[in-house]
Amino acid sequence: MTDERGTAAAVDRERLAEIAALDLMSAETDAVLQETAEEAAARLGLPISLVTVVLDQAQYFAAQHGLEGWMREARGTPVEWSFCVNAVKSGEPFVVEDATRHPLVRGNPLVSEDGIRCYAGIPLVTSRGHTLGTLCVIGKEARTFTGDELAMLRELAAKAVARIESRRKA
Amino acid sequence: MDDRSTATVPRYGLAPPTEDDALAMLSRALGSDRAVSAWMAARAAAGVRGGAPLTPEALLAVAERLQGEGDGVARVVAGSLAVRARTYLLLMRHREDPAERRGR
Repeated sequence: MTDERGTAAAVDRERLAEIAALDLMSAETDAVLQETAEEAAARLGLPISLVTVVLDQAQYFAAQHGLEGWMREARGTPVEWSFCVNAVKSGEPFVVEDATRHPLVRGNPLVSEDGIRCYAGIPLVTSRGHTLGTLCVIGKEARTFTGDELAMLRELAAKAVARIESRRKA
Repeated sequence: MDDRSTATVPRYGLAPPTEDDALAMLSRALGSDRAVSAWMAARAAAGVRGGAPLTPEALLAVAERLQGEGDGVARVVAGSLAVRARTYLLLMRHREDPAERRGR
């Protein structure tokens, strides 16, 4: 177990180094990532979309559409409340159709206090194999996501990754 | 520190980040020597002095300084710490008013 934890820690250090190299913590929101978030929300008819970066102890919103209140001002949340961390850990899309019934998130205060009910997040994986965060959409009503909708999100996530990779410092 | 700076956010169960948390996070990413050096430099640059436990406001000031002026992974970890501190402060500010907390 010690070796596995050590390996996981080293991988996560490399992932954080890539986040640093890609300058994803900039105070200025990237216009292309912002447009991508807006397009995702519009095409799926949901009020909120984010480009998230999952850090060691928090998630950071590199772009956001539709957030209000404390989450907009904080530009992120503690990592233990992150839905996106599930996509980052698995490397696979994470979909929640009714958050009040989903075993991984039903106890999350973003559900009980802030009203999140549905979520779909596509992992953002770089050419170096690191999963940085997600492109995700969020709603306040339970709903299903079709295969076509997830495919559309995948296309937009690929666009976001291409933009992020273009920020790589030489 | 007053009670507010150590209390857990009602209904969210979020405790304020501490300086020990900050040093632990930085040490995991940088090693302990570099972590202490980076943190103390940011503390001095932010004008935060004294041995008393840092308030969440002071911790946020140091984290934001390190996020803005640190190197590589230190900036990322500082950003993570800053999100946690901002979340704590915002939720505590609006803890009695859910509508205001949600921005309505």
